[in-house]
Amino acid sequence: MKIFRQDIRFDDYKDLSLSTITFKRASLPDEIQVYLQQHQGHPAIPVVHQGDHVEAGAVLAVAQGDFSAHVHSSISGKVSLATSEWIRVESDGSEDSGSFLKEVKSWRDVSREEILSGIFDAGIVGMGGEGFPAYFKIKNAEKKGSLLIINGCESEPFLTSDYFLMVSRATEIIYGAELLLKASGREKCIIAVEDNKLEAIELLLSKARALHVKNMEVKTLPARYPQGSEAELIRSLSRSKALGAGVPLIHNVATAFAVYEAVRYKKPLIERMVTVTGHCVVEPKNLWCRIGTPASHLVQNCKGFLRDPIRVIFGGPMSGLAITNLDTPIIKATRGIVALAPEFSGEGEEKPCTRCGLCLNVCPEELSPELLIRVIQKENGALAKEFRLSSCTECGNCTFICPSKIPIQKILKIGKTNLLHESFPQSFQAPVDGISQVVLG
Amino acid sequence: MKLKKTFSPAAPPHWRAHHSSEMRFWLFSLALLPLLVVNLIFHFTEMLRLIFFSIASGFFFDYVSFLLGFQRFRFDTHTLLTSFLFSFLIPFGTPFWAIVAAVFLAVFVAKNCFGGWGNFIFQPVFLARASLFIFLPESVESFREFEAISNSFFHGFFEPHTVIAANVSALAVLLGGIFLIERRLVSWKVPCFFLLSLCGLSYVMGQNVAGIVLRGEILIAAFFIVTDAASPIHSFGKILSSIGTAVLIVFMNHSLTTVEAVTYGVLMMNGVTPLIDRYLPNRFVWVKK
Repeated sequence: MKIFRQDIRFDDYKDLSLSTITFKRASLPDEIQVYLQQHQGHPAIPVVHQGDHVEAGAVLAVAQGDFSAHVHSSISGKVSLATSEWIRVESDGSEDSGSFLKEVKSWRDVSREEILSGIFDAGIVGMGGEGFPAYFKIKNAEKKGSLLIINGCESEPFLTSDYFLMVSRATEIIYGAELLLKASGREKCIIAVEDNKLEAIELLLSKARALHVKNMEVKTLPARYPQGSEAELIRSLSRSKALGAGVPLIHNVATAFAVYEAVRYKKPLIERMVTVTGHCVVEPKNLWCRIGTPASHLVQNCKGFLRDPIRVIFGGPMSGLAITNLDTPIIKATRGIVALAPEFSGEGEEKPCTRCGLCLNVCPEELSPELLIRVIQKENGALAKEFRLSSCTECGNCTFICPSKIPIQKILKIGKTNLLHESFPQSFQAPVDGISQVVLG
Repeated sequence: MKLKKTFSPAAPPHWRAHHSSEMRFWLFSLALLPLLVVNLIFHFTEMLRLIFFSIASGFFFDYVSFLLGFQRFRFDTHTLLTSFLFSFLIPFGTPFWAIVAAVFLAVFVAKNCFGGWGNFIFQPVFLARASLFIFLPESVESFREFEAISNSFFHGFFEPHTVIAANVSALAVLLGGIFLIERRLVSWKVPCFFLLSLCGLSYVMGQNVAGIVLRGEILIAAFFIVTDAASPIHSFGKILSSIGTAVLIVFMNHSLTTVEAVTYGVLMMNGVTPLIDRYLPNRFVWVKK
C-alpha cells in the first residue's frame, strides 16, 4: 500500500482540438491502404484480386477464425494491389458511402445471436487502442462476471476523439452499450468518464434518463493518467465499490458506437473519429476518417504543418507509436495523430540514477522500477517475478518523470521478454510501421 | 502543400517532464542560501574560508576521480551540493587540512568510489563528519561544552555564538526546507515523521525537546539527509528509516552530544537501507494479486 499516493499531472492540451464545435468528415483520399492485421490475433485472409472493383463497405479480407476480424474497404474503387499483408484500393472519386446501409426495422428487439453476428460481420475491434477483436472478447468473457464497463476515460493527453464522440453521439453510444449489455449477458453497465469531460457526463446522464434505459450508470472518475487503462479503471471502480463479482468486461465508447451502427444499419467498421492535433498542426481538429487513409492526407485536411514536428504519433504521446513515414495509413485502433513539437520531447543525455524515488511514486501498479532495472541488468528471473515485473502495464509514467532520462520502460519491456519469456500478442502497431516501408520503399 | 514526411523511430513515451537531475541538485543547493546569508552576516570571513576549502577540495578530488575514470562528469553538481552542505556542518575554526581530508573521504571514497550519484551506501557528508570527529577529538569537546550551556535555556531561531554554521539559524534552514517541499523535491511526510518522532521520543526520554528539534543540524538532517539517495527509495521505507534514525538519535543523545548522535544515527540507519529496499515492497506492502 502506498500510504500517500502521488499522481502524475501534466497539461493535457486537449483544448487544442476542442475549438471546433462539430466534427468534420475528412475529404476523400486518392487511395487507401488497408492492413490485414490491424487487430490482435490472426490476420485476415484477402478475398479480392488485383483489378477488382469494390464498393465502399465491401469485404476485402475475411477473418481467420474467432480471434480475428473482417477487413472492409472504406472507399469504392479499384483494387490496385493485393498482397497477403495489405490491400491498396484506388478511389474512383464517388464520395457516397451511405448507399450500402440498410436499416434493420426492429433493431432494438434483435436476439443476442444476431447482435454477436452483427459485431463479427462488421469486423469490430477494440477502438481504444489495443485492437482486440470485440466478438472474441465478448465470447471469451461469457459468464465470467456481471459488469460491463464502457470506457470513456481517454486519459491520454492531446486526444479528444472519444470526448467528441460522446458529446455528439451520446444517444447512439447509450444504445450501443445497451446492445453490448444484451450481447454479453451482463447485468449492469457503467459508463466511466473522467471529470474533465463534464459536458459529456451531463449529456450521457440526461440522455440515459430520457431514454429510460435500465441497468446503466454514468460514473465520474478523477482525471489522471493512466485512468483509461484497464487495470487502473478496475482499480478506480473497485475503490468506489462499484465493481460486482467476477471480471468486468471493458469496451471503449467508440466500440459501443460502432456496435450500434453495425446492428442498426449493418454498417461495417470502415470509419472512425480521429483527433489530428499537436502544436505543429495549423488547425487541430477531430475528423471522421475512413480507415486506411494516409496520415498525410488527414494532416492536409487540417491545413498542414505550421512547423516541422519532431515526431508524429499514432495515439497519445505517452503510449502511442511514433510513425517513421507520414504516409502510414490509419487503422481501426488509431485514436489520434499527434504532431509533437520539438520543445515537448524533452530528451537529453541518459544520466545515472539518483534514487530520487519519483518512478516509484508515479507507478500506478506500485512497482519499484529502480529495483527492477537492477534485477533485469543482473538477469535474475526469480527476483523479477518477486518484484511483480509481469504486472507492468507500460503506461510510461516512470520514463516520463525520470529526471535522469533513463529509458525505464524500454528496459522493463526487454526484461519482460527476456526474463519472463512473455509472448506478447502480435500487436497491430509494429506491422503498420512495416507497411510504410513496404509501400514506400 | 509540402509536408515533412520521414521521422526517426522512437520508443514511447514521446514526451518527457522538463526537469533534470542536475537541476534538482542546483535547487537543493539553492535551499541552503538563507543559511549562507545569515552566516555571512555573523561570521563573514570564517564562513567564506570554510566554504572555499570544502568546495575547492571537493572539485579537486572530483577532478582526480574523473581522471582516474570513476567519475563520469567533469563538473558534478552533486559534488557542489555535498561540499557546500559539508561546510555548514563543521565547527568554525576547523584547520584546512582537516577539511581537505574529510572532503576527500566524502567525495572520493564515499561518493565516487561507490559509483557516484545514487550508488553510495553511506551519506558522504555525514561520513566525512564522522571522520572529522576522529581527526579532531577536541571539536567534540567544544560541542559538549556548548551543549552544556545551550541546553539550559531556549535560544530561539538565531544563535550567533555557536560551534557550527548550521546551528546559527534554525529559521533559515526551515525556510530552505519549506522551499524544498514547495518545489516537490522532498516529500513533506519524511521530515514531518522524522521531526515528530524525534519530538515524541525526546519528550518520553525526558530530554529538552526544543533544544533538540530546533537545531539547525537536526533540521538539515530532516530536509536534506534522511530524504536523499542513501535512504530507502520507497516513500514508506523513507518514513520507516527516518523514524529509525530518530530513535537512534534519542538513544545516543544520552551519552553522546547531539552532533555525534545525529551523525552516527544517520550512518547506522543507512546500513539498513538495502534491507528495507529489498523486502519492503513485497513483504509488508499490501499487494493485490
